[in-house]
Amino acid sequence: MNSFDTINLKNGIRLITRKNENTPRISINVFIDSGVKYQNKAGIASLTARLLLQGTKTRNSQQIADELDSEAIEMSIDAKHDYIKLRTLFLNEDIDKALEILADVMLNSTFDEIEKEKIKLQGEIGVELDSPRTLAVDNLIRNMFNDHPYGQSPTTVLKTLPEIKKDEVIDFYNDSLSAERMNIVVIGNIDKDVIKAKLEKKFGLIKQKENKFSVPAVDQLSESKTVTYAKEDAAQAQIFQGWLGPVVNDEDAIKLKILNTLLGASGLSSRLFVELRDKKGLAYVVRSSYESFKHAGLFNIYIATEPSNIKIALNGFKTEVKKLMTTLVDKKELENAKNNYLGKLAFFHETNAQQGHYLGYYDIIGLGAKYDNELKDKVKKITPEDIKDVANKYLSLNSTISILAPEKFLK
Amino acid sequence: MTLDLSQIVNQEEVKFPFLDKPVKLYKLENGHTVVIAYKQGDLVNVSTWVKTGSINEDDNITGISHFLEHLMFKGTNKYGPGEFDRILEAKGAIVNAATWKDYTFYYVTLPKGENNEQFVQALELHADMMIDPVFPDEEIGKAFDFKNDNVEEKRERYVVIEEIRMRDDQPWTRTYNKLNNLMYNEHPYKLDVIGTGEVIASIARSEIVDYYNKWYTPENFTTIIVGDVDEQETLELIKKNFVFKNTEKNPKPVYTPEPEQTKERYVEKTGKINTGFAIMGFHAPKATSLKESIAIEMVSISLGEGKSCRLYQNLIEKPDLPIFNLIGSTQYNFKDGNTFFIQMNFKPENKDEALNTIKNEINELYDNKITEQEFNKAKKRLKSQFASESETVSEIGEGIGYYMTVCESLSCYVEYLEILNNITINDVYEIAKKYIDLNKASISVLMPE
Repeated sequence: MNSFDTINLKNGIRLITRKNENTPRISINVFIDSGVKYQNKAGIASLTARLLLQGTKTRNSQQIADELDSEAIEMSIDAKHDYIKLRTLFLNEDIDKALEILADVMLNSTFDEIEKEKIKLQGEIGVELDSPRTLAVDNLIRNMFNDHPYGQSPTTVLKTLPEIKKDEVIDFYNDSLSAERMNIVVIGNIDKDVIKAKLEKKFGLIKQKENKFSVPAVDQLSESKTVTYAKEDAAQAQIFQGWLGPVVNDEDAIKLKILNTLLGASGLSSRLFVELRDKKGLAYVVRSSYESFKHAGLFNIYIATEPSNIKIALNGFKTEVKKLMTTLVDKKELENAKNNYLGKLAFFHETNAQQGHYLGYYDIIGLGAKYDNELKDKVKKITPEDIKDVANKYLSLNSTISILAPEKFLK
Repeated sequence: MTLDLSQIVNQEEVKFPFLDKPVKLYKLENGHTVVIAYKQGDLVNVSTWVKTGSINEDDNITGISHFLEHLMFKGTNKYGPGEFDRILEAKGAIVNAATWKDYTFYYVTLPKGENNEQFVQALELHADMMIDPVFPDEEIGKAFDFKNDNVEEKRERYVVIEEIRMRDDQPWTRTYNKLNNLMYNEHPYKLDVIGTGEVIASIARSEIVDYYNKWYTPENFTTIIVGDVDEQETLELIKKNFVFKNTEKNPKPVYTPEPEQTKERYVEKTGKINTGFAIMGFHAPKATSLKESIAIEMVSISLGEGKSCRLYQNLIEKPDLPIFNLIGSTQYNFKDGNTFFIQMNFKPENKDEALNTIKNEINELYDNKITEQEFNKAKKRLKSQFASESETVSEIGEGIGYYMTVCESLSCYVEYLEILNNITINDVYEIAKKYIDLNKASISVLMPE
């Protein structure tokens, strides 16, 4: 892969570019240090992101949608745990149109449509909550993070949404948008000087501001507990077991990622897949996952299985976790997991949009865009002892189990 | 050992607009089709598309194509169960397979490695899996009575049954399955691809083996390689690795055509949910009828795709209190006739109003044709889709596989762009009127209990 360049715009916005010739579409991603972590009411960050596409001083929401769609410009804005991401992808010839709209929504949004947007969001959450898996995740997250901003879930958003005022959203956005706490990542068939000149013109007026936000500490889980949700017509039980793990810039994070790969994230050959699916026929989906955020990490194991299998599935989790804590991973198995993880990185860096995502994400989260290249060496150094250590350090802590099933299976 | 390698009997080149080199297509003497597409980069995609799916099933074997797809991963004479996954995933490969009405396909995407080492190994393992599966009894699991399942040893039959259960819990999937069943009376498309628990629990291994022997023949195989590979070397590797035991040629299957629908059909079910789900479906042209397929695609974009479309703007964005939570449309392409859908989620107390509103929007299509602006937007979107589908080796592979199996030739791809350039608003109008006819609508609704 070509290397990338980082240059600062005059106001301090970090511009990250990589020229990939012979690619038909240019990706522009803007990452703003913001998101769920900074909000004092669940839903503010999402509403902010959504409202950025709902009207500016000179364009209403339909005009924005029409102008984007008429040139097949993809633009979406998402509020994640630690950032707001504006994703734009378009044919090379449409760069000026794409930049014009991107700048307009970032700098001139009115947030006038807030009441309408709340109604739409409420409706969409209602649909999400008709999925049993979402209900079980909702219960897990609320119970692991409680009142912390990371405890945002579909049901907590439904509760606080009516209270959110337009001024709060405007303040949230204005306090978030600060030149040195954001980056713009441009990947595609374009020269860095050309794009820099265009961006200076469009985004040069964004100022540097003091960061007014603070994030409370995430409390450790005070006890291990099981929370349940009764759904009488569920054909499968939805079972999650979650632990708090290391934060994104902790040295342990990458070790836990490799542990996660070999336990339940490599694809069809992970331990959970082989033991619980191939050998015991318990599930179609069984996996583990680990997400590392700026102020917390969340490790979890998931299975969807016939409700009468709840006990045997949980025992299966226990056996696999215990094995990781007591037995050193075979060198070959560890090597396979590392190669799986690194090989898949190539798969997730194939398009301009994907490359732009990782460079911008590592930058905004504080690891630096160069982390994308350093990762390989860090993975290579991991030993069987490291895996056992992180298993003992994190998976011996209290955990929360969230189960959805018909009532009689929950007793 | 000397191998009797199949010779090339036909060869063509097709120019893809966003790829650096023309795509090469070879037909081998044994009937096996090979397609090689060059794409710069470290990743390579290896896949084989088999021209069988639920279209070749009946009530007694419903779900067999998909169950077979699972069992193909259970080992060969050379490699034990799970070894394929383990060896390739240890190299960072993404390995999987999918079954649909017209096809089943198996793929590996991985970094090709130094001197193509990993690519060569992936191709060898993939070919071995495709031509020499052994279907061990213990991996399939003992047959059992689905209504009375007290089986200790749960194996792959149960994995598929869990997959069926999972789908029963997904409201959109439930609504779609009911609709699919409602839309067909005669054609095998009426069967759900995943089948039923009863059949999966009890089907005999011998039936699975027979099905494999009947359909997994070279003439039904299209093997596709996408990546930075040498064409001649790759072709030789494929010939060397795909040595078929079974080269029998079957007569081309004939399917009972679906009689023309003449009036609206409706089905309503309930579940423990809080919102209303509905899908309205129409029989659309055959995927091979390119101009008509493109016209329906353009209607779909104008009506129900993206935020600027009519349904989203009129029914969600404009009303102060919309009765819809989500709305959209799409076309599924099938060899024996596409389907055009409008999917919607609404406040359950407004069910009748929701369905009537959609019908009005469809009538509006006839009263006010799609506009010049909508027409140009749809054209641009379809063109940009070609750019987007050329960005990854997997998508290029999937695109080629689709054209080869559903559209039955790669020239569809080139013709597609030509037709798109020449189609007129009036063409779109006439074709839409023919297919998206409210007298031929099928409606499936899922409501809270």
